[in-house]
Amino acid sequence: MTRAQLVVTVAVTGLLAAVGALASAYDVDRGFDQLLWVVRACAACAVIVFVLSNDSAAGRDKIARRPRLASALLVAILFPYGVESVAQSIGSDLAIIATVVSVALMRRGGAVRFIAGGLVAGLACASEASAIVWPLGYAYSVVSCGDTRRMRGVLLICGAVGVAIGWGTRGVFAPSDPVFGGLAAVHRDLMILMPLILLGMVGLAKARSEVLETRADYSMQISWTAVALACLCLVVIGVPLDVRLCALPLFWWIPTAVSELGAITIGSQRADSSLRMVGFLSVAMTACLMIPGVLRLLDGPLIAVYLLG
Amino acid sequence: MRMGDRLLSHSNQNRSPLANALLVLLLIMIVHGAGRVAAVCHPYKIDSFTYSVAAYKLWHTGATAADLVADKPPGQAILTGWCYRVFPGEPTRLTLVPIESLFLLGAYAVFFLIARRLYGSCNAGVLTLFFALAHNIYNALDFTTDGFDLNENYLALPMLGAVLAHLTIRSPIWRGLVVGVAIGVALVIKQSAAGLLAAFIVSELLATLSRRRIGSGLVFCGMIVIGIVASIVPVALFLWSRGWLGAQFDTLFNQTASHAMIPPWTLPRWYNILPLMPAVWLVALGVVLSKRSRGDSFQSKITMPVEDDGSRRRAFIFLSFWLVTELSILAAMRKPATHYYQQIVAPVVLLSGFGLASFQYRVTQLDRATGAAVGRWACATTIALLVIAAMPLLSAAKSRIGTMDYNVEVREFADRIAAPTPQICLERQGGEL
Repeated sequence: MTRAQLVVTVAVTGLLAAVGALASAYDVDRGFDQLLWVVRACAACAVIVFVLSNDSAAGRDKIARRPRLASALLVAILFPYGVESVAQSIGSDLAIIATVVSVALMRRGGAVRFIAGGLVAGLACASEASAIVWPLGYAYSVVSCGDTRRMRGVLLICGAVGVAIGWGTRGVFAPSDPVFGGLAAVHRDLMILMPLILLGMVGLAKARSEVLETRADYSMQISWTAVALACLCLVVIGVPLDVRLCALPLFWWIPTAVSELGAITIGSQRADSSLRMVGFLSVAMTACLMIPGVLRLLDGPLIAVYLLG
Repeated sequence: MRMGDRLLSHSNQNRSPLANALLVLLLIMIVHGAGRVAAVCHPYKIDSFTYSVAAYKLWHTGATAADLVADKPPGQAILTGWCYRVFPGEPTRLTLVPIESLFLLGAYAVFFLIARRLYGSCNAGVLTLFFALAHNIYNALDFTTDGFDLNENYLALPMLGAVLAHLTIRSPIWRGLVVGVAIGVALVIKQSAAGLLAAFIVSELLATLSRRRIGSGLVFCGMIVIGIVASIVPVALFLWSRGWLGAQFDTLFNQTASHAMIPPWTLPRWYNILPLMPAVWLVALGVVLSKRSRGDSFQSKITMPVEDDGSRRRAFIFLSFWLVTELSILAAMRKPATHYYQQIVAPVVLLSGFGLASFQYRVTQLDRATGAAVGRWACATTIALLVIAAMPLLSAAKSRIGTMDYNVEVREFADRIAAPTPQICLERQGGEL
């Protein structure tokens, strides 16, 4: 994907996500919160860029343009609607933006970027305590690789300090209240995002079966995803964490899964009929899982019409 | 080890079978605990009070025929009411929590034994989790009544016991007798167990006709009747000794008829399908892959692992009949209660085991890369469906547990015991039956 194509993709899908974000930025009692909408739209764009940055394949298996576009579209359609548990909180979206930036800085390496990434991760944790998933994942990747550098705990320390600052300064950063609407709201958000999580799990499983997992940056991504999966299990059994922050690393693997799904249903791997049928079944089931989110697609445009009218 | 086998064990290669078993057991206990909490703390405490008060009164002096539940046999009251004589403390609905859980845990164990016989231990654990989850969801998330102390919770054990006996005992005499006794126990709890009875008789007669051994089929059916009579006679004698037998028969048949209707059959609501989606997904996988075996364009037989001596085929036919009878009863119910779907969980999940086994068998025939791709898409989708099905149950349990007040339970139960029994009947008749 060229830079121009990337920009156009982000612009189009970002616009779609921004329209979707209108629904959650409007409250019957408080009216339309412009700042919340802008931040929420930016968070969605950040996640789209994060998803498009997937480079888990290389060489001949490089992820093509269409799977990336499809992945960005899926995120743009569903991501803005998984916010019921953090509906009126800006902290969650700030934390998402900060986490994406921190991940990008840590992946590129270098001492300056490392420190900057740590500080940004701390900001993310100050905005929303659930953002600690990223520092935990990074620490797990370092430990699992047997890294003995003293700097390995820096990100975790930054995250812990951020969480402490966030809890201590309620009203400044206003950590989001994940129990808004109760556990049912958290679970509804998880249900909305489940198709993306499913694709992420498949992409992760495919990546783990490839040699590329030995690369340090992929090891970091895989470890972060493993911690995130554990946190999602906690969400399922009743711990009210921020679903979007917990599921964020899984979104990175979506293009890998979509690329494979395209290959086995209509692409080069369709020679095996068993695989093709399972692929079509999976497409059908993923489409069914998207129904709760798709049913809300009109909410954003309706709010837009109301605001413009 | 074949490539496919290695693939299937890829995610478990660092865990022993014991660890896997403990993990599945933990998940089942979490589901069971959440289901019981959600059911006991349900905001609409209707049926649980009806059945628990009836059980209390039956085991205390001064009971009359009007104290029996009008539209159900007295089996549940006889099986559970003794708890009020044994356990200390003030009588409440909560006194029956242990015995209800025992029946359900016993049902899970028997289900596991059935599934293990058909599909092996590993698959049996997964299927038991599916069964426990769907059973508790249908039980706890009904909007017509609370799921605590329902007939269906006590039905599962004797019904599954009958199924296990049918699949394991070879002698038609002993098989018929044990099945009959188990079905008889189920019938004195709730008359809807007749669906399973019909499935036994029809599938056995068809099997014996196909093998031209009609005699053994008739012997089996005859022993079933004897077993049922042996189970029902003690209860009938108990009712007769108190002079309640005639009254109970009259109300039972009249009220049973009022539950049923000739249906204009309608599609079930999506929330009544969701708990069984993991099982349906396995069935779909198995059906699709069984038609795509190497070199074959279509297979009329379900593709099974090796060493199928024909018993699985007979089990498949029986389970199919059982599902048909339960669906017929479900379609005939006038009230669209979600807890009626508990009856179809066992046959659906057991049938889905054929899909699971067929899927595993097909994967072992594929090359490594293809098998890996098939495996990850199937597993990820199954996990997603399981999580989506489980979440409403878990959130209901968490939201409801804070509403439990023991003092209110004691007071309400005492009020129900003191209330004139005809008043309770009138309330039920005035409401929706």
